[in-house]
Formats: sequence, C-alpha cells, structure tokens
Amino acid sequence: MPPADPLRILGVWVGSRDFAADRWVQIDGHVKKIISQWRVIGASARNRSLLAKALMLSQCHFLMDGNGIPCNMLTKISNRIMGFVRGKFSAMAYHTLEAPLAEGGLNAPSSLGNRPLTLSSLATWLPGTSEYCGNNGRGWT
Amino acid sequence: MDLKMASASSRAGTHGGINPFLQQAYTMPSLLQDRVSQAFLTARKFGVDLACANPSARARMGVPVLNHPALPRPGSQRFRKLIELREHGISKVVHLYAPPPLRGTGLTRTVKAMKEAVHTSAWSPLRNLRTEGECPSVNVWPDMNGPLGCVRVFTAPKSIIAGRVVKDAYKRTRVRAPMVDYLPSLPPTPRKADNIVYERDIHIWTDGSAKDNGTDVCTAGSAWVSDLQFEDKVSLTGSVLSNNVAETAAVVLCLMAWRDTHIVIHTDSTFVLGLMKGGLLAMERDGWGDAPQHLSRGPPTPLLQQLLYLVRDRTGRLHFEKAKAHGDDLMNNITDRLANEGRLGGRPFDLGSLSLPAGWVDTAPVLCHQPLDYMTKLVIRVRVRAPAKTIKFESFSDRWMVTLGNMFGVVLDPGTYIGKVWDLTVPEGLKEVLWKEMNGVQVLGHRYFGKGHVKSDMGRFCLCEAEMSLGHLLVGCSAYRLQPLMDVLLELLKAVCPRGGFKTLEPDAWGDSPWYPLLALGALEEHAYPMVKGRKAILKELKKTRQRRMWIIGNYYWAVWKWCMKEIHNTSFKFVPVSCAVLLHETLLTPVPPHLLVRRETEGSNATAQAPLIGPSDSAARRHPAPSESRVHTRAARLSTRGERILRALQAAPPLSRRDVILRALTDDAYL
Repeated sequence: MPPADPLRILGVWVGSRDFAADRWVQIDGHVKKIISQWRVIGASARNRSLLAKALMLSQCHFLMDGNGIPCNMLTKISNRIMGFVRGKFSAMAYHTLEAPLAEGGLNAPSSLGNRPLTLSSLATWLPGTSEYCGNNGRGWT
Repeated sequence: MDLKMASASSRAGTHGGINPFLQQAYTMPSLLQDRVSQAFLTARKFGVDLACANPSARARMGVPVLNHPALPRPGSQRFRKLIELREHGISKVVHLYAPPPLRGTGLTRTVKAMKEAVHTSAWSPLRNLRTEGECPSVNVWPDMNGPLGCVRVFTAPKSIIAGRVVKDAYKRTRVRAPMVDYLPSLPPTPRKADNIVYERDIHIWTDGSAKDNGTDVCTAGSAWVSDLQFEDKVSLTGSVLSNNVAETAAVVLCLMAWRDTHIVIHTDSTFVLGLMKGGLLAMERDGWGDAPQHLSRGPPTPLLQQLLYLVRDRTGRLHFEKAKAHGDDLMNNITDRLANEGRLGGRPFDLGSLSLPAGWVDTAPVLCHQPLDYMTKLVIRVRVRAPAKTIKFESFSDRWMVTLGNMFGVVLDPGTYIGKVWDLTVPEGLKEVLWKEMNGVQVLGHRYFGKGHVKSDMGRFCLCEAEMSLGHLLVGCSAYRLQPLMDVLLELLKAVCPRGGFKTLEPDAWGDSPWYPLLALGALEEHAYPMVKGRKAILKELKKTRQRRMWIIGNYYWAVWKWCMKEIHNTSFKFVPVSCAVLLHETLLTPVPPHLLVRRETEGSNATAQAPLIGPSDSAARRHPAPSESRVHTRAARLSTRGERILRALQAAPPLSRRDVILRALTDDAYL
C-alpha cells in the first residue's frame, strides 16, 4: 500500500486528510439534522446538554480519534451545538454552560472551536488537531 | 538496540527503512514503546542522531572517506591526500583496510595515518560493539526477552539535549538547544557490601516485614542476605508503611549496596516481580498515576522512582527470581527472620530522604493514556472560569447568605448549595428557572420579544408598576394577590406535616425571595431548628416529609410562574389567582416522580451533611454513619409507602371547590 493511502479502521478513515474533511461535512449535516429534530420539542437545558453529548459529540469524538478535525469545521460544529444547548434567546455565557454543575455551570459539551486557546489545549491530546489547526490555531494549513 | 528491527514498517518491507549512512529510520508504525518513540522524536527535533553514537559495522565500513567525521575536513592540506587516495580507488573506509595497489609518494603512509585516525574515533571498524544486552551503555530490562522498548535512551554522562548548538536535520538551520544539568548525585548508600569485583553472579535474597499492615501505626523492616554472607537489615521510617513498601525498600537497599556487580535477586514478593516485569515502566509512561492506592500517598512514589533509577543506573547484570515464601527456601527464611529483626531493632532508614538525580526518571505528568472525560475536565478547569467566581454569581451568593442568615440565624456556605439546584425535588422547569436566576440571566422583559416586537410591558413591569423579577412574581403584589393560592399551599403542607412553629414550614414567611430556602431546606431544618425537648424526633419527622413538602412548594412556584408567563405572552389570558385555586389544588396533589425519590435516596441527604459556617448545629445528627445499600433500599421503600399514604389522605380530604374559595374570599378581606 502506498504511503498516506486512506485506510479504514473500525469505520474511521485514517491517512487521508482530504477524505477526512469530506467526512466532517457529513458529520456537520448529521448534527444539523439532529438539532432540527430536537429543537421543536422544547427540551430543558439539562436535556439539551445531554442530547448534545449523546447524539452529536459522540460522532465527533469518534472521528476525532482517527483523524484530526479541520479548524473551520471545529468552529462551525461547536457553535452549532452550543447554540442549541444555550437556546435562541439567552444571555447565558458559554463558560457558564461548560463549567461543572457543582460550580454553577451546566456541564455542557465544551465549545471547542471558540477560542484559539482551546485549540492549542485540544491539540495536546487529540491526534492531528495541531496539524489541521496550524498557524497557532488560526487556520487551515 | 536493533533499530532495523524496531523501525520495520509495512511501507518499508523487509529493509526496515534505515539509511545505513545516516542511521535514520522511518519509524512511524514502530514497534518501539511510546516512551522510546517520544525520545526518538525529541532527538530528531534537536537534530541529534541517536544511532550515530553507536554506528553499526556496516555503516562504519561504508562511510566515505571524504567528509568522514574522523578524517580531515575540506580546507586542510591533508584533505588533498584524501582526494588523491580517492583517485586511486579508496573512496570508503573499507578500502583503507583492503587498499588497491598504490603508486605514489607517501600514499601508503597516508593510508596508515587515516586508519589510525579512524581507529581512535567512534567510527573505528575494529571497535567491538557488543551485541544487545551486553553493551554497558544499554541496559536490557530484567526478565524481558528483547530489548525493544527497554532501551535507556538517556545514556552516557550527557543527555541527548545537552548539546549547546546542534544542527536541525530537517530545517537545515542551526538552533540553540537548552542546556540541561545532568550531574547525577550519589544516592544515600546504606552500606557497601564489598569492594571486590566478582566475576560470577551473586545471589541475594530480599524480604520485607510489616506489622499492622495498612494502618497508620504500621511498622516495617527490610533485609537482604547474599550468598557471600553479607547482609543488612533496617527499620523503615518516613512514609506510610505497608508490606509492599517494605519489599520494595528491600530491593532498593540491595541495589544500592550492589551497584556494579552481577546479581540475582530472589524475592517472594509478587508485587516487586510485577514492577520489574514492566510495571515500573508502565507507571513512568502513564505519569505515575497508576501507583497502587497504598503507595500513592507521600514518599512511596519517590521510592518507586528510586527503584527505577537504580535499575537503570546499573552496569552489572540484574535478574530476578521468585522465592517461595515461608517454605523450604533456607535463605529466604533467614531473610524473613532478619527483616523481622530489622523491623524491631534495625538501624532506621528514612524513605523520605531518598533523592532522585535529574534526568534518569521521567517524573513529569503525562496526558496520554488518560480517559477522555479527565481530559475534558482538565481543559475546562484550565480554561473556563467557574460561574461561582463571577461577579454576577457573587452578588447572588451574598444575597442568599444574608437573607437566610437574617431569616433563620445560620450562615451557610453558598458554594456547597450551588450545584444542589439540580437535585431539588421540584419540577424540572423550575430548576432551570432557578438556575438562570442564580446566574442573573433570567429572561424577563423586552429582551425576550426582541427589538421592535414588544407585545406587552408585562414582561418589564408588573401591573403594580414595579419592575418585574422572579421574586416579585412568586410573592405577588397589589395587582394580583396570591393569598388564595398561598392558603391552598399552606393547607396541603399542614396535611403533610401537621407540626408548625418553624419557618421552613411556613413559605408565606419566606420574604421577597421565597425560593432561597429551597436550596438548603434540609440544612436549615437540621441546624436552625431550636433546641427544644424532643428535637431529634421532630427532625426525624421533618426529614421524612421533606421531599414531599419540597415537591408541593416547587409545584406551587412552578404553577405561579407558568400562569404569570402565560399572562405576559398571551394577551387574551388574565391571571386571576382566586380562579386558579382549584387547579392549583389538583396540581399540588400530584405525587413525587419516582426517579426523584430514588435519586435522593441513593445520594443520601446531601444538604443535611453540610454544617453551617455560623449558627447552631446538631453534631449528633451528623455523626450517624452513611446508610448501607440494603438500608437505602429499605428506606426508599418505606418512604415511598409513606408518600403514597400521605397522598391517599390528601385525596380523601374534601376537595376545594370553586364555591368554597369564593365564599372564603368574600369573608376574608385579605383576598380582596
């Protein structure tokens, strides 16, 4: 097998960044669809947080372990999920949602793509993120 | 170290991907352990070629004479001789040893000089590079078959990142590397066994002894005995002791005493053998987070690191063998007896005084092999500022603490009860409302409707022209008196708990922020209830009915909130409290959802365990041990039964009809 040829392991494509980028577009579509389905029900904040963890971020984390996530997709998906958890009309700060319950937060999924600092900290433990979010997390390389 | 075998990848096939001259390999799908791989990456980053420290025979023979590290460089006069030799067919080092016929002045002498220069360098082909396992600079881990993953990369008296200026092999630039102080200090040596150099393997038996194992008063001793009639015994101090600590300390003492001798250690400790078979390396790789529970406190982790350092620092062979404890092994029995003697009267050996030289053991915390939830918590802890520390939340905390202090005479710590809002036995919607109110983001007013789409001023101002707030909604005002609804609430509360005379049983006396006591209802009752006769029985009764009362009060607040919001958003709806009393009565009769009951029981009385900062407290109530699992189930069943009984009693009571309410309203001025 030539080097850098895409290889599928447990459903995750490893080795081809271009292919991974296309997969992230699909994931974003899934997230959007799930949000549209659950938004009409009017779930409470705790339940929205639970939905975000169970239905949306599970797919993201699964794919993130195999391929890095492109920086623009990271921001896009994070904002979409946090917007769903936070609600349309809310003055709640993002950091309030992310903080643990014992400290007054909601323990919601972290808004991964909101700040470059997040990307740099994320790059320490997610493979490939630092490569995709190069230039100090400011863009695609 | 066999780089060729270690770096074999699927891409490179059988050739291993090694450049024989540069001795660099493409090691991505490597067989090396993570620790070694990271060391390779670090070395590559600093432009240091690890393999060049010990070039292979093939590399040494195949190096070109031009630009050879041990031969004259371009610019010198002797370099011309090399060019001349190359014209005669001597282009590689191997040709120096089997030169073709030379015809020229001084060429033979030049070849001889070049050979001597090569001999004196690390690139000498005649240098006897011993095979794996025998090289003194490369230690193979005891009791392991192969050297893969067991090679100490930070070998020799200097670190791989100790060079002042190194060449970055990839960027083709010169970078300045940091200097690392790498001067190993001598460890505290207990007693030197012997200064004689032994050619054969010395067999040593180690053992540890501990009494009152696992307790704070544990005493322990360690001993070792060699087959040369040398022995040592100590009494351990300076740490939380246990039998495994004693066994580990015995091996550490032995290694300190026999540093440069080939030894075979016989131990009866499975724990120590597990450490030697890779447990120590795994702990180092995982940041010493997997240390056993009894070893994770205090100095014992340094003890493990000391053991790892001593094993790596050895120049002699080291093997471990299992000895049968308390069996026929005479030497092991002798060691056991010595360890007992050491525990009772040996010279003290302070485990806290062990010093670890820098650079030998990786003591830095690591992120690899950590679960994802831990990573997420770590990222959030570092990056996110907790709402409890924001100014908005602090203002709420102060108000909450002062209000409850004035009302009940106790001062509670707000930080303890902030997270309890999600555990309250109230409707889920009210929890979210309270949580938003605590964070100061409760939507009330024109913001909800958006700019230019204001339908009503009810969101901003009440009909009584007061600014709208959650407290104003729940307490009521002159525009809509909530007294009929409050009467329904008090009546039901009295049916649940007939006892009165305390403020937690009278929600109508809770002031302008009536939901404040809900957060710490249990703590308030336990710590603020007056010291009267039969207090313990009263508290027990209050505790039994607390969830039901909380559910009734929460339902009341939630119903009032919903009616007010409906009036704000629906202009055709008019909230008249008197007309809603019957509906409220039915709403408050709904039983507590089972999932709330079960959760509260399994979590225990979370609020009651917290003592107030100021004020009376019932220390005896807090001295009760946590209920066991079976007790919790029994109590849950009993409480559930009691809840059903209360519910039946309430339902058996005559329902409040609309006529009753109107009649009562006509006879009571407060309703008007």
